[in-house]
Amino acid sequence: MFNVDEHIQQWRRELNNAEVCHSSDLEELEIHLRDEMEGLGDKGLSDQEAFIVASRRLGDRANLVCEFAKVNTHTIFLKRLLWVCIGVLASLLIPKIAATFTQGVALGALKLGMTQSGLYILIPSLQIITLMIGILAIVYFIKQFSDYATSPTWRIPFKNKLSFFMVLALVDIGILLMPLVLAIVAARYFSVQDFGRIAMAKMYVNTFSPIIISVLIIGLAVKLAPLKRRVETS
Amino acid sequence: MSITKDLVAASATPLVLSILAEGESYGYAIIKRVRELSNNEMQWTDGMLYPVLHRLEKKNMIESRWGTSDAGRKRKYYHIEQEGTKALATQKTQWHTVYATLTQLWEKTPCSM
Repeated sequence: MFNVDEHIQQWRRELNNAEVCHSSDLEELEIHLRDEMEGLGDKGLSDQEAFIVASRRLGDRANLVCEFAKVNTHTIFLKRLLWVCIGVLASLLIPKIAATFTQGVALGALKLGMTQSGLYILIPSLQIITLMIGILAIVYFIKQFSDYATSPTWRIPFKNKLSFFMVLALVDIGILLMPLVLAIVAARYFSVQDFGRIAMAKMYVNTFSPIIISVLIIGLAVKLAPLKRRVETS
Repeated sequence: MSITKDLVAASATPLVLSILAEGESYGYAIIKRVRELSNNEMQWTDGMLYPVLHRLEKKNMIESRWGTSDAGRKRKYYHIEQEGTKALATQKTQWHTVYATLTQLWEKTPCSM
């Protein structure tokens, strides 16, 4: 049996996923679809036939999205801005996580009797690796959840995105408090010399990480460019 | 023979304004009216009407309100504003000019028609 409401809801969801229509736009389009279906039903078409013809007459998704995007530029800008905020917030977060994690591991290693030369290798490599993993994780996340997402199940509606933004902000605050906790622990169990040795080893991070990060950014830009073109032509 | 896409797009604004000048209306009724008047030769993709309506609303040429139909269905009604009446007058002059220009040319070479 053809379930009209279910199909209309599905049709509406697909339009909503593009994130260019206001809910009032969708409402208006749905009413139009139902009016049109009613008219076709009076001509003797079955519900299924009427739905197919009416949704075809309304126009295909890509064209509709394109036309609505021209009118609702303001909303779209705000949504993109939110993505930028997520990116900025995450990029503040990642180096912090990397640094805190490295600091923790280094202090642990010192306690276990690691030598100074060992720290020179451990600290830069650990910090750079966590930083790279973090950056790749952000890129993967944005690719999956933004408008570029290929599978509709991966897209999250705007409201959830807002709550995600809040969660991220809370995590960020938590992470910012982490060094404080670490400092208290360190002051209790470690000596000034231990910190001096870690600080020395950290100098190497400052030397190498800008180079590695620039290479990563260029690589990502090259990788993202064709993806964007594909979306525009589809 | 159906009207080309470009021409349909170009005539959308004057058509919508002219229909709304007759009185308050809503999307589906506007589409139906265009279909009837053109004997089905102006095939609008129905969904494209709404961005046009919203754009005209942003320019203060028309205004909308949510209401209910006789059958009790929720509907968004549009009516023309002063700005819209002015714009329609300009559009009319422009379309008359285009029509008059083409007519003059075509009357000179009746055999090719």
